[in-house]
Amino acid sequence: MSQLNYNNSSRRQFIQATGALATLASGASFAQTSSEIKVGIATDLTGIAAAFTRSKVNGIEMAVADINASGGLLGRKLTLHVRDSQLKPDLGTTHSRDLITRENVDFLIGPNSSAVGLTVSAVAKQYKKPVLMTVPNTPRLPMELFHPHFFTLVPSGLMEARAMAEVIGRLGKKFAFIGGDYEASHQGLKFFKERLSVVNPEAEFVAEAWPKLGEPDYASFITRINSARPDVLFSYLWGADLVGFVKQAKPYGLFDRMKVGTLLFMDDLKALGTDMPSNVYGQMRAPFFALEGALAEDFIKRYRARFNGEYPADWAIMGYEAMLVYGQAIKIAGSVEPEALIKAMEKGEFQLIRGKVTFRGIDHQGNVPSFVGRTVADARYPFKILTDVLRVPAMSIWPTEQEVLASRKV
Amino acid sequence: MLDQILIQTLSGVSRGMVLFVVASGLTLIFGTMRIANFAHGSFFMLAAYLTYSITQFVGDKTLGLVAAIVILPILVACFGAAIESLLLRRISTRPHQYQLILTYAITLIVADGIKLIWGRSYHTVDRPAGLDGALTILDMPFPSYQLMLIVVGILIAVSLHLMLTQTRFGKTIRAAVADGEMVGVLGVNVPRLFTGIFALGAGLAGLGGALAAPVGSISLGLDSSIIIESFAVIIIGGVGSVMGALVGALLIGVVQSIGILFAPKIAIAFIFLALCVVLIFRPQGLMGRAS
Repeated sequence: MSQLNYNNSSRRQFIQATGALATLASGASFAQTSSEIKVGIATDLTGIAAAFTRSKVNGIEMAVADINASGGLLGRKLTLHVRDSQLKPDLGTTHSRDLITRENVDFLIGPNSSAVGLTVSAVAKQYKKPVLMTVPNTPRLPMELFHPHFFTLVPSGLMEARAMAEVIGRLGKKFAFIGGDYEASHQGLKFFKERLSVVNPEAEFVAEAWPKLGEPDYASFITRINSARPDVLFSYLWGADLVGFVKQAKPYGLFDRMKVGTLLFMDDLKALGTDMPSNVYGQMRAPFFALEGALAEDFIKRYRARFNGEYPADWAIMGYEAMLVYGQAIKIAGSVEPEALIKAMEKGEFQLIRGKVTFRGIDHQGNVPSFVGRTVADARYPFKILTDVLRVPAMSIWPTEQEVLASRKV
Repeated sequence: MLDQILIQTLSGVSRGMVLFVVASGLTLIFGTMRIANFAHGSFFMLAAYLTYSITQFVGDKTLGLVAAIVILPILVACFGAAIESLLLRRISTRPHQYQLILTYAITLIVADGIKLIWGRSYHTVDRPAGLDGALTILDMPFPSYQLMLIVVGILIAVSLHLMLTQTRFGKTIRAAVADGEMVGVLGVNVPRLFTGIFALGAGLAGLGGALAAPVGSISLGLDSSIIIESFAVIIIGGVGSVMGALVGALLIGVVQSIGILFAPKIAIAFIFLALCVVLIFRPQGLMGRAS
């Protein structure tokens, strides 16, 4: 009798022990589905754009802190998991995969470089996790390489080139171009020329300059452009390259001889300070000084208070907005489950610092404007800002649905 | 069109002059000691960064730059002498690959050291007062500093030529280029000679770095861009020949500038095309000795 008597207490103990072991074994996943919402970011913390990444992560960190301070989402706190992809696409793959499979993040925010963005998006597609880009703006991501879990808050290179053509296209007949010799510049020029032929059919290009990325000495390129006597120069230089070019071009009187339109980031305005010539047409993604409304003013004030009086760059603003989108979408969806989340992101209207934004169905491109204005000195700031800022609306510059579909056919 | 070509040529000559100063040092080292000194680019970059620091320290841009141009060749020469006597000489009996690897290692160490001390951001050095304006040439502003570099380059070329032909040290160098072994047999203290040559070469790279500092941006890529061009110069000009370095440097500067005018998308390739042509038709270089 005693052998057949599976002692109730021992069976109970057995069940309890097994149950406890099962709990411990599933450890991480068990604990995290009930307590934290994990945000994963594989981004380029080191490398030439490290400062841009720092700014973006600042914006995201601030948003996470804000959300957690008001109770989190769905009663759960957010945690940030950041990895350094070092501008290397293969690290973008490894880290994103790691974040998804081992850290079990609920969704991703994108890196900085477009090359890494391609691999991160591919991993998100493979594991069906939402990924939201705020910096990499190669048009291939929303066009040929689109998948339903991909969303983007930054105007694509195609959109920016078209916006630039709209604003500076009628300023003259003869155009010149300077850009770093890499794919984005070549694409940018191509899209610019296409839109230019519509905006100003008589325009022609008289010179093109293709210095290498990180070129230390622009002298021969400057003399080349000067001697072609264009009316307008379209520059695809940015960051340290733009700073170097501007400083070197001034003694050649380049900015007095032609109108110049260029990509421009807050970081460049700060680096150049009063050395930035006035009346340059700068194209920016999220210029803090041109953003109105209570949300923007509040963000700028609190960002400066949190980060030593620093004015938020475009990256910080868009990073913060990425969390605003996810936060609002999670509230709408009532869950962080990927399919529910992307449905909420597709349908929702998001209140962001740049204004109200929705994501277009066909490519999940946020209908964000491109900001173009002229540089001007302003007593309030130790750097120049833009005046007469035009918000070129997404509708007038993004690819039509036919264009998007055509790109995917190939 | 003609005036465009002339302006590009002028721009190319100005660029070529800085390249000449750096490459002349490299050609002397390679010509006598047969060391492919990859660290030569690092000497140039180090001098540029130090010029930035000296001008910041002195405060006055004119005084600062003058001080840098005077001090840095000596400083970098000493640095070069130290590297040669303490490191390179120890492995002088080993095959050439070892020296190559050693100089390459120095390149990496210097580059990382610079990153640690000065950080990753680009720096700029202002032109000195009096040379910060522009002259109008062919209806276009051309910065006076760049024009000054052309004059300075010519002066340095003449001085080097005089040194090589009139001084004992210079004659010994030319002898060492012609026949290294014979020089030793004739009783010259070869180790000391080599340290001196290495120091001179490094000093020239330092001078180039200080002169070039106000021209472009001071960034971490300076070493690789100048070393590649310098090697192209000495191969085109002929190893061991300072006049060859002048010809080669001017050729490269002008070819690149004209390339930007006529074939902007492939302008980068022009230097290497020139290199290929020279190697095929005159492998000893334009002014080198046929061996």
